[in-house]
Amino acid sequence: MSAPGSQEFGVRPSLGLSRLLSWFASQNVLLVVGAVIFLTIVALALLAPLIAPYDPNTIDFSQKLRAPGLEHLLGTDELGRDIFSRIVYGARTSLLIGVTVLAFSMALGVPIGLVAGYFGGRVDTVLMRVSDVFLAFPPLLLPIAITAMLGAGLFNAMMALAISWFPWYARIIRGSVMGVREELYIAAAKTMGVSAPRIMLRHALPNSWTPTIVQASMDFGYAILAAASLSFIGIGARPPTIEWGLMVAQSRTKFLDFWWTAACPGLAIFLTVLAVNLVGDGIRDLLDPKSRAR
Amino acid sequence: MSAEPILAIGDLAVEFPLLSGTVEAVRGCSLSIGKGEVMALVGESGCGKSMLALACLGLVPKPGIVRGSVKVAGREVVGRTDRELADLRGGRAAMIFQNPASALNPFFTVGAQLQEVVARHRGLSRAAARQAVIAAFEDVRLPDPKIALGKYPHQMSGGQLQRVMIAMAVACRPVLLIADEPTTALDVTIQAQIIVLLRDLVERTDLSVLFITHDLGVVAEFCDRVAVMYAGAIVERGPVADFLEEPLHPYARMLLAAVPRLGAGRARLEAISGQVPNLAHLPRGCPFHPRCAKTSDVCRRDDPVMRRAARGRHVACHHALGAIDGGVTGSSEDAA
Amino acid sequence: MWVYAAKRVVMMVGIMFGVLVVTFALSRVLPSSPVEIMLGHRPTPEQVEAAKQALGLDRPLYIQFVSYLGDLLRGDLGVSLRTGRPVLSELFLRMTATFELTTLAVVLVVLAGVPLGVLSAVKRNAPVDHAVRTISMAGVALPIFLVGMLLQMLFYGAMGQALPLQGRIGSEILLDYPFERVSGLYLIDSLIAGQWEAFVSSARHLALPVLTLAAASLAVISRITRNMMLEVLDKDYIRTAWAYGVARRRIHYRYALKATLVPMLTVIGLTYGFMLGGSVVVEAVFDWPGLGGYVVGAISRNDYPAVMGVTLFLATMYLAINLVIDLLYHAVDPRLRIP
Repeated sequence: MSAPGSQEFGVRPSLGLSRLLSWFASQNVLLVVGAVIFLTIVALALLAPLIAPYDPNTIDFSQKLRAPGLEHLLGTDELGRDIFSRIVYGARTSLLIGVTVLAFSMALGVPIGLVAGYFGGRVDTVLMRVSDVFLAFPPLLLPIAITAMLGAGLFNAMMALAISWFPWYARIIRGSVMGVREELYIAAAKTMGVSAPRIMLRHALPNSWTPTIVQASMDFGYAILAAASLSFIGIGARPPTIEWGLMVAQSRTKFLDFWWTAACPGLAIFLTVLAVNLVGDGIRDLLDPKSRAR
Repeated sequence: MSAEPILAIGDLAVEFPLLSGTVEAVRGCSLSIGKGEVMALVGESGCGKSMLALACLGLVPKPGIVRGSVKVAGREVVGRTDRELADLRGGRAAMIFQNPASALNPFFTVGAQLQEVVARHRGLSRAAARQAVIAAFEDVRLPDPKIALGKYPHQMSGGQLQRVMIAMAVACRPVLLIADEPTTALDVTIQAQIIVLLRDLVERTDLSVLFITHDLGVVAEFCDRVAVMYAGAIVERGPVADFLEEPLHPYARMLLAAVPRLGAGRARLEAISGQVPNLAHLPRGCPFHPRCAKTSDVCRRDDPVMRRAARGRHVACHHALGAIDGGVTGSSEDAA
Repeated sequence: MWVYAAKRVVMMVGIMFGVLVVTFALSRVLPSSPVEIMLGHRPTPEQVEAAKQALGLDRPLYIQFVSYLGDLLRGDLGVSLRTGRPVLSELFLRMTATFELTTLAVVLVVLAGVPLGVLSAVKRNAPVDHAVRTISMAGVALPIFLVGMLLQMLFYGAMGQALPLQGRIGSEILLDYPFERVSGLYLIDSLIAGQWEAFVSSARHLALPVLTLAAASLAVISRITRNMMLEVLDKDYIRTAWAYGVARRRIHYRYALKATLVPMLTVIGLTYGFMLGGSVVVEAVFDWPGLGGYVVGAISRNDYPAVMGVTLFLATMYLAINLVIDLLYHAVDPRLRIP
C-alpha cells in the first residue's frame, strides 16, 4: 500500500485537451484569418519590386482608366498607372506609418510615463495635466492643426499623430510604475543600493508590457486610418508618395464612373486595418482574457 | 415528523465544466427541512454551501449543470425553466444574500424594489402594494417605514439594508427562507438584532429557514438542526444540541475546537492544519483525509457515505460510527 | 453637487489654458514664416521687419501670448489671410452647418447603436450577437471617406441620382424657395418658413453625410453598449431580481438598461468628439459648407489664423460638451446626486 502521507489523486476524466483545441479553433479562427491577411500584406510590402507587374509611377495615357482585367489586375488610374502595383507599393507606406507612429508615440510616452510614475507628486500632476491637454482635442483635430502648421507631408503627419497619441502610452507606463512603486521590494532594492532608474527599468517596464501591447495593437490600425484620412484631405502624404488614402483622394474626380480607382485602394485600407485589428484582438484575448468581451 | 418537508434535497450535484477541469461544487448532498424548522448549513468558504443554496431556487449560473432533486413545498425545482420558477422565487421561497448593499439595485429606491416584488407575487395594485411594503417594513422593525420607501440603498446603513432584504423576502409570506450568510458582513451588535428579528419571524409565521453560515455561535443561538459541509458534500447532520455537545465527524470536531470558548480555561485554540481541497482535483477516498488525524487505509480508498449514527444524526466518516454504536455500520441514509 | 460642478469647471479652465498654450505655440512658433506668406513672394527684409512689427511678432513670446489671450477674450480670433475678414464671423456662418450634421449623426448613432448593443448582450452568442459583432468589427476598419464615397457611388451613381452628391441644398431650390436663416439649421429654418420643398431638399442632402458620419461610430457604440450591458448583467442586484421572479424582459430592459445608461452618457460625449473630428473628412467628401470644409480650404491656402481659429473653436466645443456630460452624469446617477 502507499506510504502514509502520499495521496492518489483521481482526476475526474475531464475533456481538457479536446476542449482546449475546440475552444482555440472557435475563438481564434478570427485571429488566424487576421494573421494570414496581415502576413500577406507584409509579404506584398517586402517583396513589392518582385510582385508588382508594373512600375507604380509610370505614366501612360494610352492606358488610362482601364477596368480591371487581365492586363491590369485592378485597372489603371487616370494617368494610366497600374493600380495593383501602386497598391502593393502602398502597402509599404502603410506598414511604415503604423510602425513609425507607434514608435514615436512610445518614444515620447514611455519616458514621460516613467518620470511621472516614479517621482509622483507635483511632477506627476504637471505631466499628467499636460497629457490631458492633448487628450482634450477631438480626435484628428490636433494632428490636422499640427500638420497644417508644420507643412503637409507624410512625415509631418506621422509626427503629428505621434504627438497627439503619446498620452495613452504615458498613462499606461505611469500606472504600471506607480503600481510597482508600492511594492516593498523597491524599498528593499533601494536599501541595497540599486539605483532608481534601474529599478524602474527592470521592474516597471515588464509589468506594463501587456497593456502596452494591447494599446499598440489597437493603435496600429488607427494610425493607418488616420494617416489615410489626413492624406485624403490633402495634408498627409503628397505625390509622388504612394499612399492608399492619397490614391482615393486622387480618384475623386473620376470615381463615379470608374469605381475601381477608389474602391481598390479603399479596400486595401479596409483589409489591412481589419487584419491588424483581428490580430490585435486575438493577442489581447491571449494576454488578458479578463478584458475581452464575453 | 410525518408532514411533507418544506425543503427536500435529494442527492444534489452541481458541477462546472471548465477548461482547467470540471469543478464539482456540490457532490451528492441530501437534506430536508420541516415546517418551522431552522437548519444551519456550516462550512468554510469554498465548500459549496452558496451553490447549494442557489440550486434550491434554480439560480445556479451558467455553465453550471445541476443534477439530483430539490423539492420546495413538494414541487421539483431541478430542470425547470426561469419562467416556470418565477412564481416560486420570491413567492413561496425567498433568498437573502450576504451583502445587501450590492444585492439591492442602486438606481431604484428600496420602496420601488419591494413594490415590484409584492405587486408581482400578490397581484396588488400600486396603492395596495405600497401599503404592503410599509407593512413589511414595520414587520422587520425598520425605523420610519414611510420615509424609507423613498430612500436609495446608498443612503441606508448595512443593518437597515439587511432588514430591507428580509422585508423583501417575507413580504410575500414564503414558507421557506434561504439565508446566505446574512450576518457575516454586519457588525456584532447588528448581527444580534437581525438574529432576534429572524427568530421572531420564525415563531410568528412557522417559517422554515436554511441558514448558511460559518459562525458556530449563531448556529448555537438560532438553529434547530445543523448540516456540516466539506468539499461539496455534507459530512454530518443532526440536532444542534447534540452536535455541539459531541460532534461526530473529525472535521466538525476541529471546527468546534477552533472556536474560542469562555470559561474553558487557557487551552490553546486549535487551528485546522492544511487547506480546503481544490474542487476540480479532489483526492481519492474521503476528501478530508489529508487533514484528518485519524486517517487510515480505508479513508484513502473509499469516499464514505452518510450513515445513521444515532437518532436523528448522520455522519459520513469511516471512523465516527464506532464512537457511538460500537458497531461498524448503522443503517444507511434516511431523511430526518 | 454644486461643489463638484465648481471643481470640474476649474479643471476645465486649467485644461483650456493648456489648449490655448498649444494653439498659440502652433500658430506662432511653427510656421516657417507666416509673414512671408502674407506678403507674397520675395519681400524685402525691410518689408518683413515692418510687417513683423505691425503684427507684433517681434515682441517676446510671453507678451505675445498675453496679447493673444486678450484678443481671444475680446472674441478676436485673428483675421483670415484669404478673405481679410475676422475668423470668428466666418466660423459662425459655418458652425451651424457642422452642428446640424453632427447632431443628427449622434442621434442616429445612439438610436441605432444602443439597441443593437443591448440586443447583442441579451442574446449573447446567438446568431444576432455574432452578426452585430462582425459588422462592428468591419465598421471600425472602414475609413470614413471610403464609406462616404461608397454611399455616393450607390445612391448617386448606381441608383440614378436618388440622393444628391454633395452640398447642403439644391442651388435652384435655394433660389425658388428661399427661407430666412433663423437658427442656421436648414431643416428647422425651412419648416419655420413653411417651405416644404426646401425642407425636403435639405433632408435629402443631409442623408448621406449623416449616414457616413454615423457609420463609423455605430460600430463602436454598439460594441461598448454590449460590453457595459454584459457587465451589468453579472451584478449582484440583477441576481436578486432573478431570485425574486422578475420577468426576464423586465430585468433586461428596465433594471439592467438603467444601470447602463449612466456610463453611456460618457460614451455619447466621446462620440460627439469623434464626430467633430470625423466631420472634417466627411465635409470634404460631400463638399459640406461647414467647419471641416473651412479648415481644409484654409490649410490648402496656408491661412494659419483660420486653421488655428477653427482648431480652438472645436476644441472648446468638445471641452464644453464633456463638461455638460459630466454634470449630467452626476445629475442622473442617484448615488452621486443625493449624498
